[in-house]
Amino acid sequence: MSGAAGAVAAGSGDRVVRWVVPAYNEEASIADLIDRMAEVSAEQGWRYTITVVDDGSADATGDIAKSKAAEYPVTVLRNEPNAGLGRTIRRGLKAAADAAGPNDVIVTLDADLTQDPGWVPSMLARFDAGGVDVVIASRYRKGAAVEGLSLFRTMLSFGAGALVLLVRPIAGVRDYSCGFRLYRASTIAEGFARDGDDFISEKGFACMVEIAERLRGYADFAEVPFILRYDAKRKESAIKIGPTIQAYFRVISKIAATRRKPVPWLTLVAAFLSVVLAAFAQRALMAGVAGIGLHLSALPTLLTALGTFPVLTGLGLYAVSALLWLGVLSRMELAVAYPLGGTAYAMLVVLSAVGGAQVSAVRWLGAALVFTGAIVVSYLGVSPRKGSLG
Amino acid sequence: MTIYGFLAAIATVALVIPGQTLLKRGMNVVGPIHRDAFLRPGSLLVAMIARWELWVGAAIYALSAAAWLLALSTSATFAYPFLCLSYFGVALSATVFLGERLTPAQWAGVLLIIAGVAVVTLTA
Repeated sequence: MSGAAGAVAAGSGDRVVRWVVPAYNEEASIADLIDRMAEVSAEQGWRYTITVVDDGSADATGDIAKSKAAEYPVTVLRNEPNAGLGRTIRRGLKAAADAAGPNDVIVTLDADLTQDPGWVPSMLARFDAGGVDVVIASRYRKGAAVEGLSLFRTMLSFGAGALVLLVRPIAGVRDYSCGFRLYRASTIAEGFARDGDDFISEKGFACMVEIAERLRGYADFAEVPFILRYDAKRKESAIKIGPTIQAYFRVISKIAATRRKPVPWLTLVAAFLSVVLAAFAQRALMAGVAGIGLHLSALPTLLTALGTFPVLTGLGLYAVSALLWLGVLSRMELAVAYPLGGTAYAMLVVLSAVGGAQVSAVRWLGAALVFTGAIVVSYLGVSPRKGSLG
Repeated sequence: MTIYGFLAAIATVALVIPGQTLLKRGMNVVGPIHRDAFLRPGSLLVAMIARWELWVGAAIYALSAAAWLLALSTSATFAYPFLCLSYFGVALSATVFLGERLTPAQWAGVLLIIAGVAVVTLTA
């Protein structure tokens, strides 16, 4: 046998735990990490394989990993030259998924000892509890901690994750960027079948966010807490925060653009028009009945006023507005369409400014709030269709 | 502000919610109206006339419009906050009675619209 399938260490059951480790210049850690994965697997009685994807390391990472193949079922793949975390994890996941049986799971983790294999039994326990396809070892669950990371870096990392959470939350996920994950092998295989190499197109750290995004709607996620041990790291971190956060947004917008429902422009315009017409209808009716009291004695006057031009105009506008609204309702959720009516009030602010009126900052703020809310309701906050592309 | 205005504002919200919900329910049965539906307006009209929800919904809609005018004519500044309530109420009713779903972000969007409309109408 060749490739990541390799030998499988003896264990019980028909499940193979397939460890996948992307490694770049990790000669200080890789041997101990492999020992630790083997130790945990043996303790748990798992059948397992270890695939180390050496991303063109300039040091002895690859050779050290290969030497471990004498003791454990280790396969080493090598990128030449260095291709980045995305390509590396893609190669490892692809190899593992191709070799996997129907009951196998794939575990990915960093090679720098910050993510201890000892957490995987709790991840697998959550997986076996059922109902999920991906279990993420999360920094943001009760019991989790980050040891040895500067406060600044912790905040940056949290901030990036919070942004993803805010813009495109996935049910069950809080830690979008953590690479310590357990996947149902078939979930990964289906991902590659669906998206090909685009399943992981990001080259850098954002690939973790991308995988989560690509599996959105196809996989169910859960998280278990773990303690990220930055203090266990034996070399300086290479991550560049700025470009990584940029890449997160690139991933989100890229995938969101391909998967979200198309914006129903015509319906939105019709909804807006309907509300504006109703507002004009109100004006006309108010003008038509102005000065008429609201007592029973005024009823004859009121009835006479019904035949006047402003009132007839108002009623006509109301009728057109209502018909348009029915068309809107036929094509759009009520819970979305109705609040969108608020944009008419914001539009009045804009129109009055265009008309030369002085508009206070507070009113501008109000209008901005309405338009932002409308965009979120009708576009940004919409969850993509489950199980379909394009 | 009169007691009429207060009652009218409450009545508006109380009528708008079931009115819109019924209209939407009726249109859900009629189905999405696409451009080519206007080529055969007859069948569309028949389908719509057959829906009791649309009749009742339209009647309630007319009543709510009347109540709204009454509320506006007596106390406009007081009436608008109730309008904001109706945004939330209609959205909630649609999720409860029509099986619609809003994502948490969309609910946040509804709240933004409400806040914005409140600011715009109260500073008019």
